[in-house]
Amino acid sequence: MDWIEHIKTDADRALKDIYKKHRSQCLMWLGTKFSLPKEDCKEIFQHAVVILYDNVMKQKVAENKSSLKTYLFGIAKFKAYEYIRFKQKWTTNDTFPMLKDHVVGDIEDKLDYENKLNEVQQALSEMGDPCKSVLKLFYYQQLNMESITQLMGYKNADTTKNIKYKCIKRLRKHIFEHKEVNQQ
Amino acid sequence: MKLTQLDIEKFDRYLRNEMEAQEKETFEQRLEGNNELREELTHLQLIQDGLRLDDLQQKKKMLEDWDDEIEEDKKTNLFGIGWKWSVAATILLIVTAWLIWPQKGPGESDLFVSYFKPLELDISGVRSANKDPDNERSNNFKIATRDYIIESYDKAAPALLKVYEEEKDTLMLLYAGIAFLAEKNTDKALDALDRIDVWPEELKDHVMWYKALLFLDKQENEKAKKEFGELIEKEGDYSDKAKVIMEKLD
Repeated sequence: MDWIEHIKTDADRALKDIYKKHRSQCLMWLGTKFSLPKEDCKEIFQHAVVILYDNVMKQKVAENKSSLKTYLFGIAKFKAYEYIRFKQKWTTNDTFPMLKDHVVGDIEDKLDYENKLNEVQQALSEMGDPCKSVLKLFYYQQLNMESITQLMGYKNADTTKNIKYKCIKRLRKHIFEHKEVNQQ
Repeated sequence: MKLTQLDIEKFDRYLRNEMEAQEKETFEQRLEGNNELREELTHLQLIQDGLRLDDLQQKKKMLEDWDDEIEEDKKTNLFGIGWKWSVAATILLIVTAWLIWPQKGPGESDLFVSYFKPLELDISGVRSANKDPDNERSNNFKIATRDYIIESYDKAAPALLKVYEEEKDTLMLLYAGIAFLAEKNTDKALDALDRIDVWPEELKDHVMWYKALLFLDKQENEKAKKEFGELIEKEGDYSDKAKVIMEKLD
């Protein structure tokens, strides 16, 4: 099984293997190349592994075009430049600002979108499981109803579909309708 | 807007790119003329991004925990070997250092570490150096230069030599020499650099500079000084650095 397939089928295990295998070499490389302290190199390497995972999930990685190491070190290099450039502007209150930047991308009103994302995350954490997991499996990991049914141990795909519908309704109500009431 | 299960399924299929071309076109036309529908789509996209960010943050947290475990394991292994062995190893290390230290020159290794930086591989330069630029470079070339760029010098060095054997491109010898030097394999590095018998003018300074550093690392100071001296005389890009090193060596 190649590394892309491994991440798709068993992400946590695959990421752990990748992390352990490339950690020391990448930290040394980042330290030498960018003259950064170990803690900063760790931060960059961890982000690189997470973004590698995201790229696989978003199907941005072409099948076997390059080796895992080349691809991972390429992301790490890019992230290191970003880290050096933006480190000063991040406040200590920000949780994982690099990841937020990565998800928000280049949209016009970045700050407004970031605030909205915070609201979604707040609502998700209040809602908890199983809703959060079902929605994540469907909307982020793009699994079909049958796979989600198996993973969550539900009776059949219709049950899963129903749960997913109720969850998304609850979430929408929590974020958007609640906000509209507050704004009135 | 009140959304039914069917509405949401339609949005889902649109967002997951599962619609047929005709259905997609009709749906997009509806979106164009309906503000409420567009707003709902934006809401769903925002939820998708929120879920994505949440998952990525979880994974980041997971990596942080693993890293703590790795660091913890290292400490356990270090202390787990037993204090007697640790003390013995430390004594051995001190004795060895004491025996070796006086034989070493005055900081040549420090000078090497301070000044050695592998030459950046300029792909466009390498391509244009090829005799037939229209001819696509070999797969071995691509692998070797990729390994050099990602600083995987242990793999890059022999791979670059192989490309030299195949294509007789002198530039490959220079990069192979530098890669060996980065791996502290001075003998092979010197062998590669010495094989550059016909020096194109633009390569001369680079070859002399890396040979000088190589001799510095081997603590063959007289040979190093000869190379640095020539670089100073040439007044090229390496001249200033060579002057500083010469002063320190004298």
